Amino acid sequence: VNDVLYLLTIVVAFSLLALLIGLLDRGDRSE
Amino acid sequence: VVTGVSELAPAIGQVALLVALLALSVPLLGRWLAHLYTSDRHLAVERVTYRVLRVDPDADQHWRSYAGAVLGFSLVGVLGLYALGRLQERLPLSLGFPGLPPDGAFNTAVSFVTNTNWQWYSGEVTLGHLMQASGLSVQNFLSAAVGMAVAAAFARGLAKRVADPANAGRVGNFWADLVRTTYRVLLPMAILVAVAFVLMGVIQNLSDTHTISTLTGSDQSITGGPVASQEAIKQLGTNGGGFYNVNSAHPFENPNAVSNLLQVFLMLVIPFAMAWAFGVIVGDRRQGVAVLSVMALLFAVSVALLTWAEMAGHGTAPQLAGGALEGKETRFGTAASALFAATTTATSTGAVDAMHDSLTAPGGGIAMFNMMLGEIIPGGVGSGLYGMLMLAVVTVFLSGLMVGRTPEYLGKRIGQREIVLVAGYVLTTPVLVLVGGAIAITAGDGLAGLQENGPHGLSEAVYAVTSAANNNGSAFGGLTSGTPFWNTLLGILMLLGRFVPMVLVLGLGGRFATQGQRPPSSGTLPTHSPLFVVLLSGVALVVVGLTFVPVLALGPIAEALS
Repeated sequence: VNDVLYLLTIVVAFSLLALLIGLLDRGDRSE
Repeated sequence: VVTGVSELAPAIGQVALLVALLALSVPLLGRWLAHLYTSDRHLAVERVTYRVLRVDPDADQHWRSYAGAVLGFSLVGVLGLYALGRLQERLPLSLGFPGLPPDGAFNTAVSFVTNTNWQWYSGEVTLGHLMQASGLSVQNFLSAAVGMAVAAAFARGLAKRVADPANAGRVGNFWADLVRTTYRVLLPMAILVAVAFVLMGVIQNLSDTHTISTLTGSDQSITGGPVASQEAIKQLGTNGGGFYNVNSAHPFENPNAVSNLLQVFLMLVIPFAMAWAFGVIVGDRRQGVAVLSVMALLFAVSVALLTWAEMAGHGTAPQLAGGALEGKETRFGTAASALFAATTTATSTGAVDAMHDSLTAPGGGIAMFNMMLGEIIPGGVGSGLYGMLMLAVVTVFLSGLMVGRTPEYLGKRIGQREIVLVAGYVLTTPVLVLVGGAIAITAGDGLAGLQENGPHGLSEAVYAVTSAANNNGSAFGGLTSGTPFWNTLLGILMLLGRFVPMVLVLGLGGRFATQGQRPPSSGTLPTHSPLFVVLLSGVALVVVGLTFVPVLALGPIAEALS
């Protein structure tokens, strides 16, 4: 169970970072 | 009788020698780095690597793709290291050590991929040779190369002279930057340094643990291993994770005064050379020299203050001993330990040759302040340069507001979007440090890890979260951090403290790459002048001062005054 939680934490953190890239890029393109 | 005064001459001598070595090597290495990051030629071995990775090294990537490659590559690194840690006991060369617990594997995987190298464990009694050499040492190379690649991409964005709508936002190729940095800079330098370390007495073998009987009749376990090879990249890549628990205070890692000074030099040479390379890449060496001057000025002040704090040694015992010697190796003495402590916290390395928990209150405070500056004096390999450049953008913007100058840096306009990205960068790490610190000192599991009460206990917690969020990795050793609470908290801080700023830097680099360079006008603030050096130094200090003085007042400053 702990392994799943930590792996999930890693994946969620990187997904949020990817989301940040997407948000910044969308801001650039909307100008 | 050894006194503080008698160490003054060697203290000045070692700094003079260090400055001479850096003055000789930084311009050479800087030019080489600039060539690497602007050349379009590939070595044969690099072409093979690109084919294996199935990537096109000649594709000029949009900053979005570049950042995606950084994240994807790092994610694979974290997952691989996590698996290696968890499965250790089933893999060869484990020396019989069990797999790491899930929280420990998470912390260590994130720690080494983010170039932090925070260590919750004692290496010699926790990790086998496979994990040390194939897991941690490999990430020492790769995490350093990732930081340098991001700095190179940002510099190339600033260097683009003509706006080209068809290639807007393109900052270069991550895979080419990564592979070149590893093959042409880090590997050859690390091999040379490892051989030099072996000649000085650092061990390099695959020996198992030996148990010997000491003169007092007790047993002592001595672990051998591939130490010299790990030690070289540990310092060169501003990583800092030691093979042994006591890191560079261990005679197998750092046997004498010469190896100690070499380690200090290695921590500094690439971060300073990156600043030099920046000047070459943007086509105006004076810009690189200005950035390097700010780094050197603030670093020199830090070394002087920390050395004074440790050599003055306020208190009865330190004055009788001629300096604050608790937690320091007598092989190195007070001054060399102070120089090492200042260097390791100013460069984001985190290696130690003395126990930082035993630094005097002002000395420990200065070590903490170095990290709170955001690891920019000169900072980590790559991250130090882009961190300082973000503050240069803030400086230009503030100067524009104060004296009516055009808000532009190297001909690139600093508009609303640009300043939002910079503000996000400047705020990210302080938010992580202060929120992380607040969680640590209010949660029962956080408080349980502290060795001391009062101001020093607060300093232990604040030092830990500062070190993690700034990707330094050193610690006040009194903190017991090998618990699920601390491993998880610090792991998350390391992850966000590394990659959120990187994404913002690449986003800004992409915006700069989209713009053409405006010619300087009478309203342009010169960014290569001594005035700009003073302004940038002031901005760095004020930003940190406004953010962290309250917590410093409750920690090291209160301790120093008590």
